[in-house]
Amino acid sequence: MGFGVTKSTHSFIHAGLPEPGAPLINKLVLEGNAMFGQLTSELDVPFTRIGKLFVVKKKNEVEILKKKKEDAEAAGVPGVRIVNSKELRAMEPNLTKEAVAALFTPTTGLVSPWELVIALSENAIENKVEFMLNAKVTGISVPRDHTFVINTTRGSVTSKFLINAAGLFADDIAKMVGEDDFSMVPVKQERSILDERVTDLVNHLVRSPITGDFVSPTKKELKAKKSNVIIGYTSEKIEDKNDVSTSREGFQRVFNFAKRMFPAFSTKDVITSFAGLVPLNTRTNDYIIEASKKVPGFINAILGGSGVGASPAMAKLIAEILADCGLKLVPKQDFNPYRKGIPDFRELPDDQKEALITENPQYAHVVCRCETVTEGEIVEAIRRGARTLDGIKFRTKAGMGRCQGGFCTPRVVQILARELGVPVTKITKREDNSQLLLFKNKGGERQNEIARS
Amino acid sequence: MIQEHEVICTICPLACRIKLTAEGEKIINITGHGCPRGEDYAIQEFKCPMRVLTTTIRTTDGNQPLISVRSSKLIPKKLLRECVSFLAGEKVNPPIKVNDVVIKNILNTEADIIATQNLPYDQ
Amino acid sequence: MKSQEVDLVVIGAGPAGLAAAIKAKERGVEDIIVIERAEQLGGLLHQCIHTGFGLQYYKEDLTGPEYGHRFIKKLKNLKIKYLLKTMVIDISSDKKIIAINPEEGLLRLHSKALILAMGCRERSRGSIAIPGTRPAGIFTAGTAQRFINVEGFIPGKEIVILGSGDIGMIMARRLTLEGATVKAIVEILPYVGGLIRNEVQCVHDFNIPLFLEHTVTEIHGLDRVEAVTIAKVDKDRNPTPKTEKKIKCDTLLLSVGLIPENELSLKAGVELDSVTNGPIVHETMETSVPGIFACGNVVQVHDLVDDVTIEGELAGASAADYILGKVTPLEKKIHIKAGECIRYVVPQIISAQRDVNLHMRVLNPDRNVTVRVGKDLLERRFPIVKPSEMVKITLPLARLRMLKEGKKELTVTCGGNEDDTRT
Repeated sequence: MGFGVTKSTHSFIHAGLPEPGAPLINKLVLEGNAMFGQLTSELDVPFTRIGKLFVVKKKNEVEILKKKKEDAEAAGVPGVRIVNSKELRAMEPNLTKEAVAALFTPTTGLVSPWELVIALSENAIENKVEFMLNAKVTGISVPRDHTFVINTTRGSVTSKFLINAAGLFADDIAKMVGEDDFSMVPVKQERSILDERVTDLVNHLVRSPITGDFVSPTKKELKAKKSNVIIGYTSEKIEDKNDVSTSREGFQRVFNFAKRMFPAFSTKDVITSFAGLVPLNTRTNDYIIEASKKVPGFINAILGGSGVGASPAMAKLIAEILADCGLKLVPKQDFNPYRKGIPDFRELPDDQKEALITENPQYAHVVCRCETVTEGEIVEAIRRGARTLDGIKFRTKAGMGRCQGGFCTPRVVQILARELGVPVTKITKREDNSQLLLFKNKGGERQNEIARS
Repeated sequence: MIQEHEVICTICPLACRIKLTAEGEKIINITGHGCPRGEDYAIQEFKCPMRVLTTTIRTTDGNQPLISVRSSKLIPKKLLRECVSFLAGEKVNPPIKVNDVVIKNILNTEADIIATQNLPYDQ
Repeated sequence: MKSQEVDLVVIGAGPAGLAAAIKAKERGVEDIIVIERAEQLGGLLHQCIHTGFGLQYYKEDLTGPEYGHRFIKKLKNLKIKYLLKTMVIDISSDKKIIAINPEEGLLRLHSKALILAMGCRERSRGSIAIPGTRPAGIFTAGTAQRFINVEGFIPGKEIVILGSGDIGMIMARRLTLEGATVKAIVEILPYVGGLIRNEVQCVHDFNIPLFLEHTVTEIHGLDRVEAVTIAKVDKDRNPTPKTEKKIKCDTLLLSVGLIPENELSLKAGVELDSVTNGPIVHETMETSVPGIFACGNVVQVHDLVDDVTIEGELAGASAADYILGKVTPLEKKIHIKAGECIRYVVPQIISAQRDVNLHMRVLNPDRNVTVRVGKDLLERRFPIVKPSEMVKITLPLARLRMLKEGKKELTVTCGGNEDDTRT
């Protein structure tokens, strides 16, 4: 879950600076931002309001900031203000001396979207939502009694209401019920992550209001002693919905921006780079959150850029739309809003570390040395549903550190094989054909191969 | 037919590029070596290149599925792959100590295959 | 919660840590604990099953495990305490150590001296920014070596190796012997990165295509590697357009550099050298923090394990002197600087009160050069120098006594021989 578009970037929970021609985006991002604190606290998902600085280097660009401030105040975005170069230098000591001013939005936050999705899905399961994974939708029929029959590769499901939250592939789903007035187009974003050692380079999300390129910390909690820095940009639209490749040009652009903004930046500090896609629809510049006029009971819940931040508000809106469509909604009496995540061993104070170890000695076996992830966390992640190397990576951060899995991969693979009861050669990076190790050597298989060659 | 062969000597860091002229199997001339050891090396490389084999062998111990082994002396380079193939079919049982012979006279090379690790590792 | 008091803690039981612990014990330190995060002693020697170890120290051509075995036996015979599967998670400048393992949980130690011997990590795909997709099938050479030699799994069938350092070439041979096809070794420099011996015995012996002055410019494949694109590079190491070649493969092995693993060192406030990425050390192997010593690959990436052992013994002896109170107070402190054509020199600080062995690497390969220490303090001629082969020079005390009073710096340079008639 959340292994498509969602996992491919860090999500900035934007303050809600209004964009022209996108009333739904503006409304939902602003509302969603306000809801994020409580949501992440209930779900035990790390979330911080790092604040955003739209930084300009030319005096005449300050006008852009002033206009944005006006629009923001009119829309009700809290705490927006212009920061002069003196205060900017105090807020960002490593920022280039060429920066003249910035627009500061204190409510801008940061969350790891995969952590959020994993938490949401665990909480959903706790509250009796059923998930069918690896079920590709192959067709949808709408018989006369307005009940959808959804055919998948794992069998059929019937339902009176259908919410299309297929993101980048929402157009494929919509076409299946006869709604074909929009397509989904991917826009590529490329990112690079810096070594934790560069933890003090930047304190807020620093972004260019003109190009959208940015440099930002990824965690800034009070007790977190370490934080990675992420740098990135967004490209133009691309053709292929499966293209998440990085490019030399992408690296150059990302590195050049980081260097111009933070002269202390060095490419030596980059530990990994990746690319992700933002799905945009071709019908409007806005989200499409509405009940279909053609097909009763079919609801499009299509977000786009800034979607993660908008999602809690969007969910409320969808509930209202469902009610309008005739679904009787009675608040669940035994709804449990709380979910506890896998213990983050590294961040625990020593006495809690000891308590955890006493309960389960697997928490004393450190497997990922860069992020100090223990066997206990890995086994817990498997218990909660992880089956692949990436599944472990995104649930425990094992493999995300500076050695990028060089040390822990052989050990994680063995633990997965052991816990899942499968041969090591069946362990994959992320399902499908991403098998990690192709052969067991010196076994019968290999002997035959050599004999034949 | 007279042919020229180049041999890079690996005995010392000078890595002399030795030129060996031969007619069929008969060596006519050797030049480029910096010392007599290099000359001997080049002759051997021409006649029958020899190498140490280092590989692993399976064990019957689930906790230590392989141990590393080596040939006790140089074996002909042309037999390396065949030796590895042969060893792929073998399994050894604990206990084994470093230098124990696990396969005697592999493929008639007069070289033994000896263990370079203990089985079990911690003894 | 109180700490256990010990004389000496050694972090890492690879060749450096083993040598250090053994020497310290032989010098009279009683209470030593060696902490190792892996499941066995010996560090990476355990998986380096090829020969080339001990040529200098033992005058024998041993495999990695055999070399390690000799030190492990000595360690055990000396009854030195060691902990396996134990990860040090914190150290401080006053030598307080926190480590954890499943048997004992959280351990707190406080030692009189500390020896850092953590070795290095491999540079990853991410840190050299190879564009393309991120499929399964990309491994650093050392990780692949562990899978093949210790666990018994072959990562793939058709392999491309980026980097012609020793580990890359060794893996090319290993994979070929185990039945895989190595389709190319791709090297960005115009010369092979490792020893000639390995070039002959791993690349030439098996007719593996070698592409010098090339690099991998893109990785293809959604779930699993399907191919890589390689291209020729110009003198600035940028890919030359129109020289691209796509090679079908299912595995990419990376042998693109080692980085000393000093995250713990930083926690203890140890100052690092920005060129070596290892601690700045005194000729005794003491770091900038008194009582904290370092040795082996954590200080500088070595080519020969024999040098690692000697460095470890030096650190162990120095730590022993420190613990037993036998330290000679420093009168002088001279900084060694890397000058023309020299990339770095270790140790970075000498006392000029005893003989010292300088280790260095040149920036470019060259023939018939003279390495000079200071303007005219010492010079040594070398018929061949290469960045991939560490240069070692002994600076005798007799010479050091000739230094002018108040001399604070000595620069090491590498240049042509004065009587050379090169153009």
